[in-house]
Amino acid sequence: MSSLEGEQDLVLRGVSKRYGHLQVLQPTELHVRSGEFLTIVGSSGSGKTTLLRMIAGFTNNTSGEILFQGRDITNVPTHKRPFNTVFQDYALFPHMTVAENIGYGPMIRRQPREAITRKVNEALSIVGLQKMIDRMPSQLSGGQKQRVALARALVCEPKVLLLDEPLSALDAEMRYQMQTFLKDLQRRVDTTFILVTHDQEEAITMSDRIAVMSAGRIEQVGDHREVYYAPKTPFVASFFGDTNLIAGTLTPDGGLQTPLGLLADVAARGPRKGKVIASLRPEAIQLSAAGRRDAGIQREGERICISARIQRTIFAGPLTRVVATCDDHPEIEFLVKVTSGDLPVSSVPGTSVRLRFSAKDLAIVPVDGDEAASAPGHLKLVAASEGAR
Amino acid sequence: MRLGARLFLFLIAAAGPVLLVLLPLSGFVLNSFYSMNGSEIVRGFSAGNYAEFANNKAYVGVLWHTIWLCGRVALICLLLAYPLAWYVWQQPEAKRFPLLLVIILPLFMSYIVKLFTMRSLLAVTGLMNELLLDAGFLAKPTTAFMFNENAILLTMVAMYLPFVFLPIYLALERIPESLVQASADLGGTQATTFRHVVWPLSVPGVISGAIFAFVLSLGDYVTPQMVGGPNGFTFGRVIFSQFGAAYNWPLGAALAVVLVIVSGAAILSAGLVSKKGEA
Repeated sequence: MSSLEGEQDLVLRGVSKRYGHLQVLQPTELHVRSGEFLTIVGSSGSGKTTLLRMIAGFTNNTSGEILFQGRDITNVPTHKRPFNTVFQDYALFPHMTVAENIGYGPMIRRQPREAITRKVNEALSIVGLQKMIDRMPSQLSGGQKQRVALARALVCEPKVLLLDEPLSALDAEMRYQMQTFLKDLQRRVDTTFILVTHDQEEAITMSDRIAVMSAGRIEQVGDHREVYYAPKTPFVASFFGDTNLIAGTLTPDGGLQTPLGLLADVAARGPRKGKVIASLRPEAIQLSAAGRRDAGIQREGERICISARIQRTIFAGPLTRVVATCDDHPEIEFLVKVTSGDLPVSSVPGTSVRLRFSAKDLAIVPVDGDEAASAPGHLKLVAASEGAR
Repeated sequence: MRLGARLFLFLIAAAGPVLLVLLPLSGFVLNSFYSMNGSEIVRGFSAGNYAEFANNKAYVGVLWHTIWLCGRVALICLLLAYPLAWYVWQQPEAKRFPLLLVIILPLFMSYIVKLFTMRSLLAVTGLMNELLLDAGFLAKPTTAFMFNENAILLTMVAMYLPFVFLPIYLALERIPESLVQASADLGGTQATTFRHVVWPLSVPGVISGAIFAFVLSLGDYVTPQMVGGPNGFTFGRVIFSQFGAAYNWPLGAALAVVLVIVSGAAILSAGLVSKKGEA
């Protein structure tokens, strides 16, 4: 890890947080590269907000250290850290105008009046709210408050901008606009952004890298392709969107042995041996009508074909979700997503179909001892987008 | 809603204030325009009582003096209550409740019991003198705290402190934690945060607290009587004596109306200051 550390970076080394007997954050390593947009995503109680509050200095870490630009800032108080925060509830000062709110940082640093005015105007033009300069916060909409809060933080020229669920209080339309705006803004101001959210889609669409948290630990850090297509833990595999999880074992010669048979040769990817879970995205499976001679499970090199029977279809706008059970193993269900107009077969339950996928689309995820015990060696389906939230 | 039903609801809502406040008050105002003939109340209109108040330097003097005294009570209460409220606010939530209880507890005690307690504390042979003597600050018991204005001041401060503490504390507690954090986040030390965020947002509580102390002590005639002695003559006692010893109800009513006007003016101007602060 240390060889990767840039001089400008923010590094958390073994930081943890304990409240009494409650360990809300396990000892955690995190390396935030200078200038990147990093999103910390996790469900509530995963420790993501605690992590952000530690970086801001609102909460002390029970153990570990926080380094910034090579300097230990663990014990540096909030007001001396070169970071600024955009709060979930915006935290605008209700007794100050928009201009006074934004000028707060420069004002308490005793900068000259003209400089403050200039900076406030600059910041307002970045967030597009020049007309609101004399309004009170109570006269602003949620989206406008959000932008003022951003401007107020940016005016202090932070080295790192911390965003605590900044979009969660906005309606869907506004949220989408702000996602694009934030991403653009981050490129323009060239500042490290660390954003905390519980929304997987937000994390995937906005960030350079994503840190996935669960139960007080970071499960994986990576870009959106890595966390989506190459999850390192079963949790990450099921966290972003729906997936089919297939429990299996790696054979000594690198094959993936599952209840469906020896599915694929995966020696080059993932762990060398032991219990694993293979994750197969529903959109990676092709659905077609069953031919007369098709039966059971067939392997043709990388291609795998399985005969199955439709259990139910759920229309969900552009995509239709099809749940089908394997003919040879009726206890095993597959979730397939098909473009709604292109459903190649009748959607009547009981219709015979062929499921095809490539072994390359199987993401091999190592399983810890206790997790292996809970995955009793057969294929199981996890409707992740519903289950993980 | 139908007009009849709305009218009915309005009447019910208005009945309380009208019957309990407005009616007795207007009775008072009416009385203040009557006059005395020997020991008979003459029910004819004259502004004579107000003229007597305005022309009698003693009445006006006592009024000004009382306002000055009550102003000091309010000020001292604020100086004591604000740091206390701030301290309690700073405590972790689990510790706040017992502290609040201890501070609010005197409100559940009888007024008279508290007065006698203060008397026994402040008296020549009281606890305060004993302590000061034991500590060596005094060579002999002082009479500085009994049957004079200092005694009134101290007693009123002790009595009305919880009334000042509460609104300040509530104002502080209404400040979201994130505002304090935001100020620190933007570079504010604890002192700057207090000056620019905490203090301005607690001013409404400070004003209500000051008004409580001022108005309550302005109308208090029992405390001056119990601990003030002959020197502690306040406007409340003047009014009381008009209804009692002097048996001049119309003049007493007129003086009471003057006191109501002073209280009203204080509340009104405080309201204006508080509004201006918000804008």
